[in-house]
Order: sequence, then structure tokens, then C-alpha cells
Amino acid sequence: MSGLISKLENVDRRVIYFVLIIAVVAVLLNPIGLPVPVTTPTRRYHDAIASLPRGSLVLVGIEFDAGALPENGPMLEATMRLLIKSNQRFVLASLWSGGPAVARIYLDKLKTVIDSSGKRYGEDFVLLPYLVGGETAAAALAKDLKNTAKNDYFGTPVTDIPVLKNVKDAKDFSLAICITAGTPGVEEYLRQWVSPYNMPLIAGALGVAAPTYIPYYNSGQIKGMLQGLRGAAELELIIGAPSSAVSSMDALSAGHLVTIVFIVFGNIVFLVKKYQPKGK
Amino acid sequence: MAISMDPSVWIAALLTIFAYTIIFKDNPLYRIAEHVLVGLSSGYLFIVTWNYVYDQSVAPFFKGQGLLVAGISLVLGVLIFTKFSKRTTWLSNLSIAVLVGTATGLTVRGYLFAQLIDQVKASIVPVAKLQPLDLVNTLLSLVIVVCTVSYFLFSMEHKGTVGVLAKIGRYGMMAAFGAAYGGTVMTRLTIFIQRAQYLLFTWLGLG
Amino acid sequence: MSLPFLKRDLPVVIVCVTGVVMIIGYFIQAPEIYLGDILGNLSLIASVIAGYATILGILTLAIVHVKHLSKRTQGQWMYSVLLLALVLAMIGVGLIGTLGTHPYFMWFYQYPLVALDTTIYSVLAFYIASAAFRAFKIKSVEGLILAVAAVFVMLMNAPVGAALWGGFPLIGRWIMDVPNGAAFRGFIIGSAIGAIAMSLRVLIGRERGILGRT
Repeated sequence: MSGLISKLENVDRRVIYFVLIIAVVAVLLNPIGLPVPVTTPTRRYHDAIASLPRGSLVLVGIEFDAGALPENGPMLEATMRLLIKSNQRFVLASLWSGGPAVARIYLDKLKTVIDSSGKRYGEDFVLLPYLVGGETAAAALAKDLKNTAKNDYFGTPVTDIPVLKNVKDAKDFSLAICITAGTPGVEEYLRQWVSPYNMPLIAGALGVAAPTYIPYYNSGQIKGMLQGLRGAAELELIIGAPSSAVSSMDALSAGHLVTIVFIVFGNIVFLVKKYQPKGK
Repeated sequence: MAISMDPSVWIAALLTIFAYTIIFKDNPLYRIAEHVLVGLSSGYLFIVTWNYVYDQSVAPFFKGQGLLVAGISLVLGVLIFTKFSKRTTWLSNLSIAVLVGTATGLTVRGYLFAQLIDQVKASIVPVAKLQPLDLVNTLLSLVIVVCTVSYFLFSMEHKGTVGVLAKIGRYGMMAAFGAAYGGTVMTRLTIFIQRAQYLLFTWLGLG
Repeated sequence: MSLPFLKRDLPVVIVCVTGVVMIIGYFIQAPEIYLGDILGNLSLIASVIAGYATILGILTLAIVHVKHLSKRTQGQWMYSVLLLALVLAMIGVGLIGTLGTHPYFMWFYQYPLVALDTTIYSVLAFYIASAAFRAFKIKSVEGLILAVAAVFVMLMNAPVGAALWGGFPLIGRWIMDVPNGAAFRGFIIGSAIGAIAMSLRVLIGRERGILGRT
């Protein structure tokens, strides 16, 4: 018995990796279709956008880059679909260097949706270039947008862009959306957009960061929140456009179950060894 | 099974596999992947940063507008490069001082309202009209907030009342760390699942 | 102004003046002295300085690898060649047309860079799984609370939790909202007090270390 316990305690880590890979791959190739109930924070995120008067101007902060694309990307895609569907105008801005490139990936992906909605670049939405400086850039953008981003991503002077014609500062926006993988992100928006200008803010946060933003959500500083890939999947279901997030949910369940089994099993082995009578 | 014929997909898939070899041990394939990532990231960052810096501190001179701000930005920005010489490195401190002073001013006013006053206000909730479960949750939250802040009072010994408060705060923090661990698992699994989907479906054409 | 003043004291004076102007401008509206414009422009200048500092960092990285190349550092110089070649390729392609918008520039980002960045991030999933079995040992009350909270939050995040038992997401939600929310609120309040105290120390010149070598 003690030999078995010792073997289990010192199991090769490659065996553990193999079990995780097999569990995830098996479910990806044979999806189960578990239901994904929608939670209140996601519902509030959706309602904050859907309840805006048609044609409202929304700031979408793409505060993530390639590394967080799998989790934040579906949030951005679903958000853009919802903005287009509810006929809002939006400005895509980013305090992260990879943000504009990510935006281009999703603008290309949603080209058919955008074209069929009649929305036109420059008139209904615009992409700004990377704004350097983190919080100082967020403060500058809120104070005077056209002075901070002198051109759009493609080099057109912002003074020539119709959707920004009457925009001076944060007060000209109806809602700020921050889809973030860390810093700069939600807290910078809270300090430089929400507190000074009373701007309603909704957020899409990585799973790892979502627990740290719960105090802001509970205090009402964040009106709605997507929490990780689960939040993205819920939003996709609400808007009726299931995509990459929904298709990953079953594999996510498998991965979580494997991790929980490892925690439980590892502790059983630990306890058995701890309370084993000596000499056996 | 319809394996992809797109060279871009093959490049992405092979680099993915190169990078995953690190889970076994450090090896030349991983080193190649690592240096490709650093090289591309650095080049990308240079271009997007220069785009912004050019628009703010160089382009205004060609347009004849905003010369004062552009001039100050350009001078202070160029002074940063004096860091390369020990004799002139003190000049770069002038630029850093402007950056630090501005950021510090933003920090004080930002933290004061968004993260101190608003969060304290949110902890103090009128309890008269709350449902019983909400009342319990609100009081429990208040206790845990006070106890968590008490834990970080290192100027007094954690004994007696302070010790009890700090212990409750520690238990609250452990629940928070557990929640953060749960979130971390979701994030990392999500990224792995996306990579697995890319390899299985986009590259190998399975499913 | 003497050289010691310029080297040692002038940066502190600049930090104090710019910081105080930023704080005062938040509480006082003074359009007659263009205070709002001064605040906006200060933020802009600071962000441009940050941009030049970023470029300095990239140059420093390039210099490190050029040194490896020139010294033929064993086991490293070939990788440095690869790195420098890709930096130059990315910059070269990025300079075509409007900065950073060329299709080849986007190709470099969308295929190799996204693949590598996401893969490096995802490697931790394996280490988490390994640590869950080998290192996550519950040896105290605190450890037990951490483990229980983690398990319930995981079962809240994954749809399988709701499928197994409706109570998992409910308890998970409660853990997120009450103990987690309250504890992180305590962190936020504590860190806000610390940040304000540290900022005041910086503004009055008691923290010179941030300004670097003189």
C-alpha cells in the first residue's frame, strides 16, 4: 500500500499533462452540448448596451492583446455584434499596443455583418491607433479626444471623420466599455473616465481578473460585467450568435473537472500517507 | 480529414508545437519560438509606438499647429536617450520627472475617489429595508472588509482583538485567493482550448 | 542654477509642480488661466515621454542582442540573429504606407505572433494541472477555505457545475460576491491608502529612488 501511495505521490508530471490533453481533445472532438445558464452580471452588460437610445456614441476600450485573444476576443466579437444590432455608433480605442491589431482581426471577421447592417467605417464607427502612456493616455483621451488621437488607425485626420465630428471629450459618450486583460484596464477607466465624468462603464474581464473587479461591480461603479470565457458564451447566447466561446464550453467543463479531480485525488493520497500507520 | 494547405496556418501550427515543447524541457525548438516571439513583438511595438510619438511630437511641425506642446514633447522625449551615457544620464531625469509628476497627480485624485471613497461608501449600506439574507451578506461583507484592512496593520502586534480581526481577515482573503485560483484555471484552460481547436480543426481539419 | 541643483533638485521640483497642478486642476475650474488645457497637455506630454521610453527599451534590447552577435556568445548568438532579423523585418514592413497598416504587417501579427503569444500563456494550464495534484495539499484551515472556494468557483464557471447540481453555481456566486468581494474591497481600500501615501511622499520629494541615477 505504501509503495502505491509513494508512486502516486511522485507520479511523472507528463502523465498529468497527458490526462489533461486527452480530456480536452476528447470533448472537443465529441461535444456534449451542456446548457449554459445566463447570469445577472452578463445580463446587465447586455442591457447596458441594448437600452441605449439608437445612435448613441459608445467608447470600446480594447485593453488586451494577442495573449488574451482566446478569452477577450469572443467578448469583443459579441459586443461589436450587439452594438451593430442595436444600432449604436462606436469608437474603438486601445491603451494596449496590440489592441488595434486585434480590432482589425475582428473587423475583418465581422465584415459581412457590418456590410449587411449598412454601417460604414468613419460614419458609424472608427478605429483609433494605439495610445501610449497607460493612465496618462486614458486621462488625455477623456479630456480632449481629438488632441490625443490626432489621426485614426489608417492615418486619416480625426477632424475629417464624421462619427467624431461633435466629439470633444468623455462627456460626449453615452457608455464606456472596457474589455481588459489587466493593466491598463478597468481601474484606469474608473479613475479617469467614471469618477471625473460620471461615465457609465461596463467591463469584460479575464477569468483571472474578474474576482478582483467584483467590488466595483457590487458598488455600482461597473454596471455590468462579462467574467471570462463563460461571460462571453453567455453574451453570445443572449444575442443569438453562438460562436467560439459557446463551442469551447464543453471542453472548459472537461478541463475544470480534471483539475478538481486532481486536487481531490492529490489530497486523498496526501491524507492516506499522513494517517498511514508507521511501519506499513 | 482535410489538412490545411495554407502556409500561414502551417507556420502558426508549427510555432505552436515548438512553444509547447517547453512543458517537457528547455530545448532549441522552444528557444527558436521564444526568440521569434520577442523579435516580432519588439518590432511591432516599435512601429505602433513610433506612430503615436510621431503624430504628437514631430508631425505638428510639418502642419504648423500645436508647436509648443509638440516641441516640449520632442525635447523631453529625446532627452530620455541621454540614458545611454553615464555623463548625461541626469538629463533623462528631467523627462522622467514630468512623467512621474503627472502620473502621481493622476494617481492621487484617481485613487482617492474611485478606489477609496467610493469603495468605503459601498461598504456602508442602509440595512433597514434589506431582506434577511441580504442583511446577513451585507453585515458579513462589512466585517470581512474591516478585518482584511486590519490584517495589513503591521504597526501593531496581531494579538488580542487585533489578532482576532486579522485572523478573520486572513480567512476572507483565502476565500478571495480561492476565487482567483478558480478564475486563473478558467483563463489558462481557455487559452489552451483555443490552441487545441486551432491545431485540431484549422490545421488538421478534424471535426 | 548650479549643476548639483540641476542634477539633484530640479527633477524633484518638476515632480512637485506637475503633480500639484494635476491635483489642483481636478478640484478647481479656472478657464481664465487655461488650467483645463494645461492638464490635458501635461497628460499628453507625459504619454509621449512614455512612448520615447518604450522606444529606448526596444533599442536597449536590440543592443543586448547585437552584443551577443558580435561576441558570438555560445548557444545564444544564432538566436540573436533570428531575433534581430525579425525585428528589422517587422519594422521594415511596418514602415510601408501608413505606419503599421500594411497587410504583411498584419500577417506577422495574426499568424506567428498570435500563435506564440497564446501558446506561451496557455503553457501555465499544464503547470496548474500538475500543481493541483502534486502541490495543492490542504494542511490548515486557511488551505481548506482556499480549496473549497476554488472548487465552488470552478464549478460556477464551468457549465458542468450547474448540470451536476444547481447549488454549485449558487454557492460559487455567493463566494464571489460576499467573501471574495469583501476581501478584495479590503485590498482596494488598503492599496488606495498606500498609493496615496506613496504619491504624497513622491510629491514632497521624500522618494528620490524613482528618478534613477544622478
